[in-house]
Amino acid sequence: MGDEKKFRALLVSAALLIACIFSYNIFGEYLRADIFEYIKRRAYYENVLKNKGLDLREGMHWRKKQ
Amino acid sequence: MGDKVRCELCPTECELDNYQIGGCRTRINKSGVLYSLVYGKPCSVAIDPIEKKPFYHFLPATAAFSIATAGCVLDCKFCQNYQISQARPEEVDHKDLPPADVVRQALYYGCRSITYTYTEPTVFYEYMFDTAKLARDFKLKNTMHTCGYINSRPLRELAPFMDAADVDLKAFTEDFYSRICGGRLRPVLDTLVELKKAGVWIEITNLVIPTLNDDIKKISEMTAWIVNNLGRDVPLHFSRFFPYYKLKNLPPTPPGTLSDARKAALDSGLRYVYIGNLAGGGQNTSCHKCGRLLVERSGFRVNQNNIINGRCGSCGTGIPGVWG
Repeated sequence: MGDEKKFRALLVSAALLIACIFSYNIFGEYLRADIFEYIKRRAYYENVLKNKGLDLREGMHWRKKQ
Repeated sequence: MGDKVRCELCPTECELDNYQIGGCRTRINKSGVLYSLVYGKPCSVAIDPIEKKPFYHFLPATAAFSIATAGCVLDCKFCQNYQISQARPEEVDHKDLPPADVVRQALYYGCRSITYTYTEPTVFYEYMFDTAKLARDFKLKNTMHTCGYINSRPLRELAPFMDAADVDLKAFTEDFYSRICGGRLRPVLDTLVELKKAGVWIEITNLVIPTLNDDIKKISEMTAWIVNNLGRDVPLHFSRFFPYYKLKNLPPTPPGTLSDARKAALDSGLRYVYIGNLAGGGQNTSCHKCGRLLVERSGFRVNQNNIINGRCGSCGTGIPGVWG
């Protein structure tokens, strides 16, 4: 690989890295909160609700997916 | 994190993320499907006199098989059953009692009706619906004590199986509903009209709370609305408040306030106005035409009943209600 190609690859990698850092700074807080909340909810369902003998019964009507 | 689901059962219409539980504490979104957590899992099962609901014009002196699960669609600061209504299903003891067993036990104990009560039955809609449907096949009546906070589509679907509803009309201002109950008044009024249209026998209960909803002008507005929209024959129960839950700072309702409210309701044109939670007068039913005593009650007990085939035993006037 020539020097020019190496330089281009380095440039692209640097640009990608900067974009990732920017995105993380902007959206990271929301993503982290979302993921942690989801893990908490799921763990509560698996560890608490499931063990309490509360079987799930599908809601009869008025279900609307967003 | 998976599909969101909007619950359309009550006017709050919670939008739930995956594994999130609704405000009523009884409905969960699991992978884009909405589930009930309390189907066939009542936390309260009892046999009560129907007068306790209170129903005064519906099968007097009969037993009602009463069930409730945990949860509620509102958060009333004066709730008398907050230990179960504001609890999560996993926090209270529950029994396994599928609809067939509810009906079987109601028949076994000689009950004439099944009542969905104590907490808000809307939260166990599917359980109530299936039980009510099955009960009909065995000639059992279905009644509910509800806050009326339910959307019209589920209500319309349920109404054909419901014989009577006692609706808590907690106040006649949006402010009271939002500050004290965490809900809205309008949907409750819509429910009352919808039930009336569907031919469900309605009785209304209004808990009179000092300083919060005891303004006689507002009570008169409420009773006028009842007369204009539901008719003069809807029984109205003014119930005495006692300090409880988050309203321990308020005094019990003075008996005079209840008498004033009753007088205002009678002046509005209502024919059957009762006072509850208070020993003494205001519990008996008299004929609206000849004034003779028809049903004498003390507490939840019926001492005498002079209604014959739905008519006044004295003058023969038809008395509104479900009597046989």
